[in-house]
This record gives sequence, C-alpha cells and structure tokens, in this order.
Amino acid sequence: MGKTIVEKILSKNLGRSVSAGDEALFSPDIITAYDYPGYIDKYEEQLRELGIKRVTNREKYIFFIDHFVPASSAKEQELHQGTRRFARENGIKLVEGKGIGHQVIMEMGYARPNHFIVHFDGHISTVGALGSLGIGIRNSMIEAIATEQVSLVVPGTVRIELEGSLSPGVTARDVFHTIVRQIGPAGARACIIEYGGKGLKSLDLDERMTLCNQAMFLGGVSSIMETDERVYSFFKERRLDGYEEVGPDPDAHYEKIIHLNLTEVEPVIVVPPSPANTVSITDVLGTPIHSGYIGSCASGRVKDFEQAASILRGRKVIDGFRLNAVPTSTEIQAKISEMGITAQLIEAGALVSFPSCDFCVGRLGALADGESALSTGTLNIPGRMGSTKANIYTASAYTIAASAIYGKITDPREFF
Amino acid sequence: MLPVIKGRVAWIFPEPNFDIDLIVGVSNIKIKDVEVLKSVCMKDYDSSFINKVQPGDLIIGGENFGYGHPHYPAFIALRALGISAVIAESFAPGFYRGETSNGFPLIECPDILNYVARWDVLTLDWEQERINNENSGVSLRCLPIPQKTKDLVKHGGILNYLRANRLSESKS
Ligand code: SF4
Repeated sequence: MGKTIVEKILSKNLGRSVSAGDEALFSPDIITAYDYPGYIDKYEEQLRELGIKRVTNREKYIFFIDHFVPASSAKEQELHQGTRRFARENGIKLVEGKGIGHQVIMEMGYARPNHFIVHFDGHISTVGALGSLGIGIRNSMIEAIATEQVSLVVPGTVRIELEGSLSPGVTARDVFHTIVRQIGPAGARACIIEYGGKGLKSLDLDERMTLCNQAMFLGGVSSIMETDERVYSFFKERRLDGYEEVGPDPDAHYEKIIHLNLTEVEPVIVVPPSPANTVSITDVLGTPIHSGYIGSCASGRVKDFEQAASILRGRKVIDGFRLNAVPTSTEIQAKISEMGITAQLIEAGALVSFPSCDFCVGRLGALADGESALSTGTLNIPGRMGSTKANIYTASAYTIAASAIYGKITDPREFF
Repeated sequence: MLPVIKGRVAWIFPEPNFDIDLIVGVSNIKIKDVEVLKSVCMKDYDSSFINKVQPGDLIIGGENFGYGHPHYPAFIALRALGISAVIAESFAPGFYRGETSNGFPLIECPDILNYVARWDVLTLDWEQERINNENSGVSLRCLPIPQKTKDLVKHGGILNYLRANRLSESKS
C-alpha cells in the first residue's frame, strides 16, 4: 500500500518501511529549543543527572532566544546567559534577536523537505510548509538530547484537499479556523494533517506556514504539506541547498479526507475562551475592541502586514485603540520596511515592534480587566495576554486592521 | 512495577477539549512553588477541593483532554495533592506525550463519562486494560495502553526510563 507523507519521511528516517501505528526509534535531523524557565536550563540539569557531559552531533542542534526579548530584568538576562553558556560549552548554534524560532529555523535553512525536527513546542509544526516534519515532543526532549533518538508511534494522517482560491478579504487564518469549525478541535486528534491539492498551490508560503502552525488546535501531532515551485523558490532565493519534492503516494491510506473549497471560506472569529470556538464574523460584528495584535509564530509574516496595510493605507486607527504590529523575524521586519509597509502602518497609528514572543504571552502589550483584544496570536484562553478578565478574539490581519479603524469588530470585506 | 491505581473520582471534566491550564488558572502558570500551586489548584471548580482530595484520587476527562497549550503547573499541583492518574475519553497528543514522559499515568477509556459519578472508587487493571467501578460494579475496556507509557510509568519518568533502557552503557 502507498504511503502518506509522514509515513514516507519516517520510513526514510528509519531506513525501513513503516506505516501508521508502527512504533520505532527515529533519529531527528534537527533538535531545536528555546529558552524559558524550565526548558534549556532543565535539559542541562537532566543531562547532568544522566551523567552526560556534552551533546554529541552538535550540528544537529539549533537553539533560539525568542521569549523575554529583549530581557526586561536582570533575572531574565540571567536565563539567557545560562542558555548562551550552555550553547557555547556544547558548541550548539544559538540564535538570538533574529525572531521567533519556528520562523527563523526555516529562514536559516535548518528545516528541509523530508527532514524530521523535534522541539518541545508543538508549533514547530510550522515547518510543514516546507515539507519538513516538525513534532513537539514536550518533556521527551531529553530523550532526543541524551540519545539522539525519539520513540514515536507513526501517526495516522488526515488529508485536507484544498480547492479553489481565497476570496478578497479572506486569509489563511480564516481557512484554518474554518477547518476547526468543520471537523472540530479533535478532528485530527493524534494525527498528522496533510495538506495538498490544487488549492494549496494558490497559497503562498506565508499562508501555508499559518495553516501548518496551528496543528495542535485540531488535536493534531503536526502538519505537513506537499512541496512545489514556491517551496523551491524559498530555498533558491536564500541560496540554501536541500530542496526535495515531498508528496504522498497516490494510493496512501488516510484516516479521513476533508475537501475544502477556499473560494467558499469567509472571515471567521475565534471567540474566548478557547481556540475551539470559531464563529462567523457576522455573529460578533460591532463587539467593542481595545487592542489589536498582529504577530506570533502563527502569523506576523509579510503577507499579514501587506493585508493590514492594504486596509490601513490612508486611514487611521481610531483614537484609544492600541495596534501592535510585531514581525515574526528580523528578515520580515526588514522586508516590510523595504516595501514601505512599516511606514504605512506607523502613519496609520500602529506601533511597529521588533520581533519577540512577548506580545503573544502578554509580557508586552498586556490587557487590563474588562478589555478586549483582536489577535493573530495562537491562543485566546483568558489570561494569555494579561488579565484573566480580558477577552481575546483571534482573527486575521485584515479583520484586525478593519476593526482598528472603528474600534469594534468589523468585516474586512467592507474594504474590498 | 506498575503502581496500583485505585482511587476515588475527585473531579470530572466532561467538557471536550479541556485546557488544563484552567486547573490552576492561566495567571498562575508561571508559579514554581508547589505549595502556592496547590493553594490555587481547582479553586475555580471547587473552592474546597484541596481539603477533600486524598492520595490515590483520580481525575476523569472528556474527549481531547489537554487541548491547547498544556503547561506543566496544573499537574505538578494535582500530583502534589495526591492525584494518581487521569482517565479520559481521549487525550490531546502533546499533553499525552508530556505527562507520560513525567511518569504520570494517562488512560484512555472511551466510555468513561457514561459510567462514573464523582467520588466513585475506580481501579485500573493494567494487565487486562480495564477500569472497574467498585461502586456500580461496571467494568470498562480501555484503549490499549502503549508499552512505552507503561515503561515510563513503571520507571517514574523519562530520566529513569532512559537510564534503564536506552543508556545502559553509561550505567556501568
Ligand atoms: S509566538 Fe506565541 S505560541 Fe509562538 S512560540 Fe512564541 S509564545 Fe509560543
């Protein structure tokens, strides 16, 4: 029987054929992590407890400092110092000040088609846009670091077959949350979400990264996509090697096949308190909003700012509304400034920030009791961006820009 | 040896896609002090939970339990209060991998919500992979418990598991 993309990647990794349900020890091509209290500092302590002095194959590692950036206290700086020292002692590549790791790992060429990457954090699924399999293995990171292998049951696959192309004012965020709405937050539970079909080709890489990033909100283990010319260009433009084609066998077995026509997708809003609650934008139009956040590993790419700027150009954010535009990496930051988008956003009244995770967790741009925010962040659970008595609605960059003009949830299609 | 799982149902979360951060409250997930975590644990659900719970007690969950960004403090608190396992219809994969790596038993039992009430006493038969409700006499089949999960639970977490199974040369 034919294989799904994940079965192909993991078979290649193992050097023998495996299918969904098989358990084996796989060898990650890349082991990546970020520092946060209880993460890299803990791996170091665990290595010590296991009597291991140094990691082997240090070229497999890449660490990021993307949370607490820049540090706002001596204590935070000490955490970063610990990471810098650990990386230095082990000869591990450490990247700081370049943006959110899930993005920068791709820009630097560490996420290649057919590769298997592990991270603590499940949003590493973002690399699926390049045909790379990224899995968040949580506290078995020490398994990867100490043994360079991780035990894994090959997950089954839910295939999402995309057709058509997006209508004006509709984005990849709307697509993802529409899928959640359609198949439920457990619709791909314990599976890999494999995207393909003609509709996928109509989406650019920024949009594909947004789709892949949020696998966990469908209960998925990760996401992966077929590669094409656009992925090839991503590598070529950056003079990176390693492009390979990624796709399933025609007779692969799927747990489910979902068909989605992109043309029919409409703007949606994820309402508090959980990424599980998607509603049509028409159900919440007019809801007062105090703050907007365009950023995070899910969004915050060139496409998102292009969308926001296309609405805000020549218009103004309403007085009292705080709009935070946070590019996901310095590469994106430079690009949008080159394109004139930064100036347009500033002109409209947005605050354009440096790349950092800190807006996503409310360490910057925090919300007070009773406030409501529209966000392209990953999570809308109460307390994620400050007060537990604030409401977080998740939406697209278009919707946030449109809503920033009126200070209430506004349908971006009004501007098309 | 696998631990004996026998305890009272201290709480039932019937809602699907339950975000475990709510157990301690999202504003408390950065707390490291176990005593403080215990004091805030389950406050939004049952303000006297910490006085009622006793070692060995169980938590019951619905479908896709652990959805979202499951941070560790909730189960650091629950384990410190004596909770010995979670039995749920199903678990979100990230939560499952994380907590089983910590050596904590997570058992999937698709029918569980239909056959338990709060404070029922349940036992887990690791061999037969069944949950027995001592109050009602009902016996429920669990989904097969992966060998890796059993190993992690038996060794009390990933470090001892690695020492025993995967790093044998460094033991000597
Ligand atoms: S942007 Fe948010 S979800 Fe993504 S890695 Fe940073 S903190 Fe986590």
